[in-house]
Amino acid sequence: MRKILLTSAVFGLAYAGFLGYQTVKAQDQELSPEEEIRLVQEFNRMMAEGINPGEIWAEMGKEAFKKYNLDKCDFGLGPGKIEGALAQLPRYFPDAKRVMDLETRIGWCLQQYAGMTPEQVKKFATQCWGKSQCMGEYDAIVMYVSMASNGHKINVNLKDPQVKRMHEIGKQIYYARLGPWDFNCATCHAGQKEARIRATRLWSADRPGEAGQAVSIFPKYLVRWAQPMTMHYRYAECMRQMRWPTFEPHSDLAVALSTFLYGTANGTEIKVPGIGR
Amino acid sequence: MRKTLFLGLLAIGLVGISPAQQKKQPTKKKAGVKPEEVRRVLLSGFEQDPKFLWKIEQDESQRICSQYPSMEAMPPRQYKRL
Repeated sequence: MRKILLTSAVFGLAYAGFLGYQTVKAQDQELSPEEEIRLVQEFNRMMAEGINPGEIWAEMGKEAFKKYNLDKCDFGLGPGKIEGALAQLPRYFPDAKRVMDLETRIGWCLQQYAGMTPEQVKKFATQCWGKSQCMGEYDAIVMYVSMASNGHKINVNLKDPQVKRMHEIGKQIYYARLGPWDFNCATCHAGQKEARIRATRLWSADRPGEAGQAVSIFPKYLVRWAQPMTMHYRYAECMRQMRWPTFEPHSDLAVALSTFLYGTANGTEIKVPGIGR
Repeated sequence: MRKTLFLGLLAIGLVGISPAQQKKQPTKKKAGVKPEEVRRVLLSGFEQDPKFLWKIEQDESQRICSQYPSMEAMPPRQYKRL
């Protein structure tokens, strides 16, 4: 009897282990070709119909904006004024004594008016990183404020010495080869020759107007993740792909890159949210 | 004869003007950003990673070394930075 019980227990455990392995294996697998085709078809349909699910975040952001007292936040045009705010950012803010882009300013205002600590702000800003179908309030706020600038042309004041300095630093970092693979931003996003990653055509800072087309649509809704991607999340993803260390949102590095990219994109009309695969 | 003399003078004039014009051209002003500042901004954006920092230092040493034919030819100020 004991032998039967022992044999059953051993087989039971082995079967449970097998089931567990199958589950993990299934989770690790990439999308099936059918699922991928379905997503591409869904993406094409959305593009054709002009539907952008990213706009849902803007609705949510309107409420979150008030909830976190961001109507007291000055984005450079006066407290609570967000129409055209993205178009003139990054800029120097005397109250914070530093140049800030939109997301850095939101982070700073969350500390000032919502009583968050820097750690809480970081957690809030990165709550949807590495996830899919995530309805984050931070992404929603960024989307709401960004969409208020639709139709405005990017106009970063590069005559301001502080902004000009950040622009130059951003440019140097953009072209600095770093990390174990000696990658830089320019590895993918520079040069006259057209580059691709799989089927995605990569924009180049050296081809006129392309930097503008790239940054003027951020935050951008990504169909494969079913959620929007903010500019700082984009930087973090690029740096992860380049095997650089983990990126800190709202840092001077983020501001320098934003100043270089938005400064290069001066004159381009903002069309948020963009949509991508 | 006069024609040859004229062409000769013209050629001398052109040869002289070209370097003079090059000298006159204002050199492009570099924005006042120090490498240390770029490095500070860069590192402000990352969680601490000793390997990444080590690689930056190695790259900088390599850049300095590549400017001189030998260690003896290197100024002490640069040598200290290695």
